[in-house]
Amino acid sequence: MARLVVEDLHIEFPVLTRGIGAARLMGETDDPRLVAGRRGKLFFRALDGVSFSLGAGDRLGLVGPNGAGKSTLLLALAGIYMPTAGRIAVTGSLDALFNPRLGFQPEATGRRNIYLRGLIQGWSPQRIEAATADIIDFAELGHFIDMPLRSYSQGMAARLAFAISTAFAPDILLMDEWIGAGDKAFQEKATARMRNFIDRTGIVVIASHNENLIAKMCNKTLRLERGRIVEHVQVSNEG
Amino acid sequence: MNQTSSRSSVSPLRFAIQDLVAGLAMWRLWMAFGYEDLRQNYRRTLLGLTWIAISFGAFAFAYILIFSGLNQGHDARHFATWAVSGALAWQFISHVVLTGANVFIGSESWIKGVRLPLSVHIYKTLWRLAIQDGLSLVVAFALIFAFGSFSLAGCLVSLLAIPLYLLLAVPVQFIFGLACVFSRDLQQFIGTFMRIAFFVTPIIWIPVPGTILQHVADINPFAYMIDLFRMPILEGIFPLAALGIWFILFVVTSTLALIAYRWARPHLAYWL
Repeated sequence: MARLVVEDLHIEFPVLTRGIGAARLMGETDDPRLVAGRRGKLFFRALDGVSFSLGAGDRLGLVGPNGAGKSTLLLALAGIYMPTAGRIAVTGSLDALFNPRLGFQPEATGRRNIYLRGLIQGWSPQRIEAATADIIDFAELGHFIDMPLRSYSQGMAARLAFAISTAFAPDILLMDEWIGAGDKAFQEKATARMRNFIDRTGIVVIASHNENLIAKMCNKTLRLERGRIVEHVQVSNEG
Repeated sequence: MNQTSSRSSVSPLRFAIQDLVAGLAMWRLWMAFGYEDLRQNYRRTLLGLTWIAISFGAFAFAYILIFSGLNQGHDARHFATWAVSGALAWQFISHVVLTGANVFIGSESWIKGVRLPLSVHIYKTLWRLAIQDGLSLVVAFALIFAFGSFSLAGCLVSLLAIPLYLLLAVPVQFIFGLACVFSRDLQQFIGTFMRIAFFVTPIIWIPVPGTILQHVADINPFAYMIDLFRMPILEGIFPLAALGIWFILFVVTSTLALIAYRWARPHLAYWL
């Protein structure tokens, strides 16, 4: 069963102060997120005491201005940034749609890139094999699939990345903004596939500036400002 | 699948071993991407990966031609084997150190994009080197058979050096890879250092007993590592002293790698 628990999460980035000096930086700003460490080191507290817990069926929307800590929170949930303090416990398979083109090889064919991306997703060769036909078909690549990726248009490469990323639903899905691809006709198709994909996912966490989307899609929202939760809304009737 | 991430969950030894084992289990991933990295270097060339063999062959052949003249006191066939086997072993060793210095810095988008065991990046690099220097190995033997003196049984024994090199390469790459993320000056230093190390390592010269070069070779760990591969071919014996040095290096680097891993792992993504 999918479960995601975050307890008192703190994330602090080291700030390189070479040439500026930590003391001067501290003196010039009243940003409470700048904190002094040992031996004159300076840290930026991107997340400050964030706690929440999600269970199966939850769709959490992260909202807040730029630099509030939304993306940092997603990266921490994905296990990329280890908490400076606090704890994140994940039960279930987790998939993050941050960079669906990571690992794409321009000289390799589309088919080979499906295999390579599948390996990054942690799929078995059988699973990749089983998904390949559907991915090619959905991405509308036709005979281009056996041509090198560098011969694709931007749109074609984006469609391929999108089709691969949405082939199998994980237990927990993390998204930084809604992802889509292609021209107008394709976007409708992509939206339908994305909805279906999300419906099969246990927990979804999405960061977005599109509050309409969040309101439509999510049953919970967290508003972050300067690394802290300023509002935690739970909507009972799912949209 | 359950995962907890917090500082206190990092028990150093278990965490590091989990990383190594989980990385090995993803062999399909690092083999595929290691090969892609290599192919990317030779993309759109007519000869493709054959260039690796040509490049090493021409380089080693030039060694034989030019430097045998500088080592007049030695039999030319003996020197040919000495130089070719030394050049190949050195090529691998310097690749391990230099690519190790860049192994995590060069994987920034991966480390910040997807959660993988860190060892995956090292295995990927070593797999690439194994293919690359494996091709050179074939050429090296061809040159040795044509121009050098050798022990046929020793040539088989010399292959024992391959697993020893690869085993040692893992902690070495962890140490250099992690250290260079935290000190970018170190990366520059290593490049400079390895260029000098080439000259103080007996590859294009043979140490004569009683000379200063003999002492240089005696205290140079690279020389012992090269001996693991070279001595069996040349003398038909496996150098036990070099094996002893290998073992010491392996224990020392593994310990340092463990310390580096424990200290750096939680901070790595932040510093990249």
